[in-house]
Amino acid sequence: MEPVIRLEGLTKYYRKNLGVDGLDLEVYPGEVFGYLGPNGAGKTTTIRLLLDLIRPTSGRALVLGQDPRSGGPAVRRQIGYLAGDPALYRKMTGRQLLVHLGHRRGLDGPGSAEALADRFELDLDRPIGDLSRGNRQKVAVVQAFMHSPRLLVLDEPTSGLDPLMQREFYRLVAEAKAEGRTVFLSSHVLGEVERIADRVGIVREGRLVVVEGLEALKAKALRRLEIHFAGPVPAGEFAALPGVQDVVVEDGLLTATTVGSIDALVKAAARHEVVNVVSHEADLEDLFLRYYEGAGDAA
Amino acid sequence: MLRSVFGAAIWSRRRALAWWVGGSFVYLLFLGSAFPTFSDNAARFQEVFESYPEALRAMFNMVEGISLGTGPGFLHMELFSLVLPLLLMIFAVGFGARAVAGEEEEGTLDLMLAGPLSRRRWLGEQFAAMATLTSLIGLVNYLAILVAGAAFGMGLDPGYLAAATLGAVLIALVFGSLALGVGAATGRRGMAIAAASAAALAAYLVFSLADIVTWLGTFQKASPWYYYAAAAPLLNGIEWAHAGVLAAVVVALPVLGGMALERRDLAV
Repeated sequence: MEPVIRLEGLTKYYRKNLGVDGLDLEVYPGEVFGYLGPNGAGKTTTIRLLLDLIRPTSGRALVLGQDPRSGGPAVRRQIGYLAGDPALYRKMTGRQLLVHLGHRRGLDGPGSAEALADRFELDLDRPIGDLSRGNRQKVAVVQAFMHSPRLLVLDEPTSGLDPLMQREFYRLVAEAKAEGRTVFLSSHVLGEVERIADRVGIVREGRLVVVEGLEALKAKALRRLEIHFAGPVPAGEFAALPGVQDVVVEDGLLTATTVGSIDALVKAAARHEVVNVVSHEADLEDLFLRYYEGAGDAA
Repeated sequence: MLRSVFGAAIWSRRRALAWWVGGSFVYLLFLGSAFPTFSDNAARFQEVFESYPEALRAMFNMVEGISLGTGPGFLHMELFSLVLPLLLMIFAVGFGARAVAGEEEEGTLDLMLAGPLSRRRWLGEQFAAMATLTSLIGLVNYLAILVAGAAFGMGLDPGYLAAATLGAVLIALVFGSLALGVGAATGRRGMAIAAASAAALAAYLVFSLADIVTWLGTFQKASPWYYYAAAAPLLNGIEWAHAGVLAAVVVALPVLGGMALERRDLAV
C-alpha cells in the first residue's frame, strides 16, 4: 500500500536550534496516526515541513506521493490543516472566513462547513476576533474538515476545546477514518492519542523515539496507583505481583507503579476492604525514560 | 469580495479606503480654496520665492519660469512636489509591508499558504490589489483636483493633470513595491516599512539637492524621484520614458522579493 506520508531521514535545523533530526516514518491510508511528544519536541516542525511552509535541511518528505514543494497547491488541496496556534482573520465572521477558504479549495459555497459548525454549536455570524479561544479553535477545526480532504494534518487539535467538544472532535476523526481518510495528529497528551490513534509515534528532542501500535503502547503504559484500605495491609502480598513496581505501604495507603494492565494489583487489593482507588497516568517524561532505558525492566 | 486573495486584500481595507477617499477630497478642496489668495498676490509671492536661497527653492521643486499665480504652478509646488506623492506612498508602503510580512507576523499567511495557494500567486494578487487601490486613490485625487480646479479657476489641463497624478501613483508604488519585496524576502513588517521609508527619503533628498550639491549631481538619475519630478508633467505633459522607468521598477521589486519568498521558510 502506497503510504500517504513518507518521511526519509527528514531533518530540519534552524539557525540556532534543532528542529527535527532524521525522521523515518510511513503513515498509511485510512490510518489515524498519533504524533506524541512534549512541547518543543519537533511536532510542529514536522507538520510545517509536510505543508511546505518550511523546507528540510536534508532528507525528504513525501505527502500523497509527492514532494510538498514540487507538488505545491495541487497536493495541499487534498490536505486539511489545523495549526497548533491557529491565526484566523479576526475581522471576518466565521462564515466569511470559511467561504473565503472554501473558494481557495474549490468549494463553491460553505460546503459541509454549516453542518460542521452546527455540530460544534458554533455561531458563524460573529467576527472571529469576538470569539472565545475555544470557539476560535472550533472555526479552525471546521475549516480543516470542510472540504473532506484525503489527509488531515492536525497540530494539537483539541487544545482549547471543552470536554464535550473534544468528544465531538473524536467522533469527527472516527468518521474521517471510516471514510478511508488519513489523519496525522499531534498531541502532548497520551490519553488523547490512546483514545483515537491506531498507531503512535513518540518524538523527543527532534527524534522519533518509537513508533508502535496502540496495543503495544498500552502494554507498556505506566500508571501511578494509590489504593486506600480500611486497615493496614501487608506489603509482601503486592510487591511480587507481575507488572507492579515501587510498592510502598504506609498503614492503609498503598502506592505503586504498574506497567501495562492494572488487573493483578486490583485483584490482589480486592482481598482487603478498599476505601478508594486513585489512578494517575504517567506523564510523558516517564514514558520516554522507559523507552530510553529500553524495555529491560518493563515486566 | 472573498472569492480571491485580491478581493480579500481589498475587502479588508475597505474602511481605511473610505477614509483615504473622503480625506483626499476634503484636503484638496481646502487646498484649492487657498489658490485665489496666491493668484491675487502672485507678484509678491514670486518676489519672496526668488529671494530664497537656491537650496530652499530646490526643496520646493521649483522649475524655471514657474509661477505660484497660475493653477498648474501652484499645484506643482504646493501639492505634487511632496504632499501628494507622500500621501500615496504612505498608503502603498503600509499595504506592501502588510501584504506578506504583516500577514506572516499575524500568522494568517500560514493559514492561506497551507491551503492550495502558491506563494507566487499570493504575492501577485497582493501586488495587484496594492496597485489597484493606490491607483484608485490617485484617481479620486485627480477628480478632486479637477473639481477644486474648476471651482477656484485654476485653468488646469486635464491631460497634464492626469500625467502628473499617474507619476505620483507610480512613485508611490515604487516604494510600496519595495516594502512588498523587502517584506516578502525577510518576513518582517517593521523592516519593510523602515527600508521603504529610508529609501523614499534618500530618493527625495538626492533629487532635490543634486542641483546644489555637486557630488550628488552624478547620482541624480539613480534616484527614482528624478523620474517622477524632473520632467514636471503638470507643466509639460507626460514624459513616457520616465513613467516607463518607474513602472519597470514597480514590477521588478516584487519579482525579486518573490524569488526570495519562494526559497525561504515561513516564520511561525
